[in-house]
Amino acid sequence: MTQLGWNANLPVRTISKFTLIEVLGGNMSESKVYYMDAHSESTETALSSKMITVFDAAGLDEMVKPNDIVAIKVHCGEWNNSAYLRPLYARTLADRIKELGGRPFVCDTTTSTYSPWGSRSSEIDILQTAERNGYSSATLGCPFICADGFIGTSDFVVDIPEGYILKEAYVAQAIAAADALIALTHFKGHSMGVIGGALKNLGIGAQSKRGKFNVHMGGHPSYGLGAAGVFHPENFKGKANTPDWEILEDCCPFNLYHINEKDELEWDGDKCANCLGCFGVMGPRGLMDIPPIQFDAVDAAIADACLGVEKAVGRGKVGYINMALDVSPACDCAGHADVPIVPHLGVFASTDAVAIDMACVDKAREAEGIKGSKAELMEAHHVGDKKFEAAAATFHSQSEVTSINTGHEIGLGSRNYELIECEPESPERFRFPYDKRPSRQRFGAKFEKFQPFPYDKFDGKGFNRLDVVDLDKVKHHYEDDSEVVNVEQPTSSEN
Amino acid sequence: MQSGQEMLEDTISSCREISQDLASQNESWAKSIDEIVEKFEEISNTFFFQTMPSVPPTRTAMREAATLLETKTSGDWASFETQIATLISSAQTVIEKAGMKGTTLT
Repeated sequence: MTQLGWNANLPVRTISKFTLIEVLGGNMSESKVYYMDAHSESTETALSSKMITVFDAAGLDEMVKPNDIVAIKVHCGEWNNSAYLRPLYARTLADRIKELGGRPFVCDTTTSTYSPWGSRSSEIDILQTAERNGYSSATLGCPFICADGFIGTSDFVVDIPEGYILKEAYVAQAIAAADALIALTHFKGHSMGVIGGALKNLGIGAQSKRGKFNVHMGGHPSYGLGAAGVFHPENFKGKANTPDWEILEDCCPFNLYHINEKDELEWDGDKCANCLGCFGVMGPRGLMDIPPIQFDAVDAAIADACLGVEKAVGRGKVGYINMALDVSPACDCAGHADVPIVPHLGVFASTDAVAIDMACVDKAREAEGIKGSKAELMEAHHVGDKKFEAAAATFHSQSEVTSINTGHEIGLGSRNYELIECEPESPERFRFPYDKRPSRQRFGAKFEKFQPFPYDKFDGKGFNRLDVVDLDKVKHHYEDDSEVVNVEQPTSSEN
Repeated sequence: MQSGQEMLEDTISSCREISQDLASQNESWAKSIDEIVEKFEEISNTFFFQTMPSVPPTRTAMREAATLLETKTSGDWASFETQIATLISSAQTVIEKAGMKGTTLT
């Protein structure tokens, strides 16, 4: 293993890092983040192999004891999203956990109804979406579970007196009941969280539905939509001038929007749970000013809720893997996936959710943005640019480190880290496991019995083919020919 | 990074300068620029311009308005004719994205 140094994101000053950490305040400890880049040219450098290499290097294997029930928390992807993690990674991790004697299950949770047409808002929805996206017991070799029940009220309440905003978290029951938890995260952008990393995978993704309303500031006296949002019913032009007026009522599962008999739009904001379902309907029509401060508060609360998950499962029993691949600007909860904003960043593992997300943010800042991506469109594609703030955030004022700094502040983890690059392991470990013999041993006798090459035909050459052809002719790039071919134009009399 | 709202305000400011005495050169050009100012003032401070997605289209309009102002100052009216058409098209995109689809700039 090669030590690559520590948090490159901290301001460069000519003082020792320990002095610097004191200056910045907060947690003085430095966490370890194990890392491999995204290049792959062999079995042992396949990304699934690298994932297992960093998993073991970070000591996450030691969290799994024989007979432990181990939750693997993934984002199974919204309907039509295509950037979510391939099920291959969850399968490979589940197999490793089984090797260690554990009993894994892969899970996700029901979402708030953040869109009128969401595809993961109940257990039946999420199981069908997950299956379409390739997450099922057949592919994973273990159950795929909706961790918070049919509607999303199956949870375990945990107190978090250390929380920056939240003082309790509602952790999805199946996750809280596990003996160990591995957050297997697709690291990418997010319109509300700015980054969608380990903190968000647990701070939102491991909360039950009501836990999500808690984190999203539902009913909060300062940051909730009911308190901070500004409703503009005067911009409603009446049913007659609003052909799709029904969606104004139908976007809210709590039935809080009504068009009354005077043809006026009403909203019972005091009861708003912050499900986010009305954002995309009311915001663009000028019917609601969505408050950016709510987004900031949610981003801070994400770290609180992540701490709640660690406390529910047991501190020291939660491990993190960040797969920073297909780094799309929008989250996997979007029903689409845009061009990635940076190249694949690599594979990370740690016992610290704060450090692992900070490491990924730093890697994204160090990278050149991808040409043609939203990073370039926002002119934030240069080395050093804060790409997620430009290409992923909804509002100008959002920060890509709010959740990270909050996590540092409350003692969940440390934004100061040592990045440790892991060497690939032996390819033998990652080969096709069902028969590891080389091909003569596996197929010699069978090929004799069921000969796949017809040696008895065409003088032993086997097949009917020409002996020699002009391959240069078909390799030639005709579009590069400098000679312009002039086609004689017909005269008008010939037309 | 400048916000979409700030860019919109810069665009309005450039267009106001472009509009000054433009009618003496071409009345229809002046009318178009005034219309852009009018529509942009209508959509100013709406939700869209608080959001990051407003940046790319508004930045395009802002830059084109700045270029058009330079062209007007230089008196290159042949280039002005082409560039005003480009600005009208970009302004239309901004208006559409801001949720005012259906508005047509002449």
